[in-house]
Amino acid sequence: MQLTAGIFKKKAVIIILLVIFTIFLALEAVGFYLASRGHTTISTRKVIGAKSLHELRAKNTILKKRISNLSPKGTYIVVDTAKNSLYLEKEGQILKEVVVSTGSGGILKDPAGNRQWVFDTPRGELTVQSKITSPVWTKPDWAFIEEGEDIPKSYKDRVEEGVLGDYALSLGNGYLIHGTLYTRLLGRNVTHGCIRVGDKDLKELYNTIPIGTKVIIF
Amino acid sequence: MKAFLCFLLALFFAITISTEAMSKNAAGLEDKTLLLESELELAKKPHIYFIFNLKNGEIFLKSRGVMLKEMKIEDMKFWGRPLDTKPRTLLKKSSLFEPKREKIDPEKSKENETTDTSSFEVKALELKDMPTSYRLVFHESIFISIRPKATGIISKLYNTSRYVSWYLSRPILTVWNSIRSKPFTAIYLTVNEEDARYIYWSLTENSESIIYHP
Repeated sequence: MQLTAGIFKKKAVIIILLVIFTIFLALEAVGFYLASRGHTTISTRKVIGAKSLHELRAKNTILKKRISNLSPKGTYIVVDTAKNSLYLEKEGQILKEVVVSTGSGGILKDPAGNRQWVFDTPRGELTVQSKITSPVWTKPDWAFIEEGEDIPKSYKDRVEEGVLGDYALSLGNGYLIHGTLYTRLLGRNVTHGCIRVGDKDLKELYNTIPIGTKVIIF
Repeated sequence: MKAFLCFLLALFFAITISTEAMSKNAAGLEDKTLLLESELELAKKPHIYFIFNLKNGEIFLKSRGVMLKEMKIEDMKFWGRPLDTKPRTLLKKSSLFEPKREKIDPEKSKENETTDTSSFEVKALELKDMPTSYRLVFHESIFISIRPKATGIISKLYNTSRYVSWYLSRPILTVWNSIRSKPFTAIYLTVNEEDARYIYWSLTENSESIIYHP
């Protein structure tokens, strides 16, 4: 009796497995048919049209040239926010590599209002808009909120000297490449969005980089 | 007569082979042209962009045509219709363990000022916090699953289970999307661990990428 029940159970399991397998196969077949419908790059061919190999090669060369024309000319800066590295480059060649600190990614909410700040270093292409010697930090509202202090009404109370190093390169919207007092944190993501550089490297950057230099941040 | 027939036959084969080769060459060039046209469109904008070159097994991170990072695709599985080469918007990044941004507490900052500064702990979102296993959802229902190359037994088992779930779900999702008159493409990419973290770090939602799969 037990033996019959065991065989029956085994049979039932096999049947269930077969049914599942058949359903999956059917789905796979239907899915494959649906997924491969229109399996040619017809749309691709329509866009380009029938052209000779010579024409296509010429078009490719022009397109490559147009893309390379969009690349920064002369010396430019590349910042890798994941590695906290800054590269001074020219025509794709790295001239200098510098350890930096970039945005922490932290979020600060204003307890008194609806404002919120995300401390990321902006990604994409920026431009060195101005060069500053002995920069002073005009503390924005978030700097006071973060420290749990009241926001001052006077401009004078916002100004702090000596925290940004000897030089700064402005990238616009309040973002700077500047010096730091916290050199042991270079190589870490600790800033409020600015790019912190060590004193020696900052001086070299300041002397090398003209206004208008492109800065690519990723 | 026999010699003439042989000559004709040889000529026929030669023409067939060369025509085939020429048409393949032209198709390859057309695909490359489309890729370059799409890249030109993205390079005109001051943003960073990714090119998922599935044909050559490469991922490029670029801006203004400048190569910022090159990554290698270790393994690739593709399911769905061939994709048109054009810029595509990333709608969503989803992961089982999404990295959390640190919420700064002003009260704690005040406390830290009065305590010992030598025990300062960096609370930040860094590359090491990024997931290595996640899914990218692009416009037109294109799903790219990124998985790290398995190194140990546990990660091999985990990767196998993820692959099986991907494998089993793709026909069902195709049928489901077809009923809703929507396209569906599922891509499964295996890259090394650091590259997987890099892609998650650099690829932001609403950014544009090119998926090249002619």
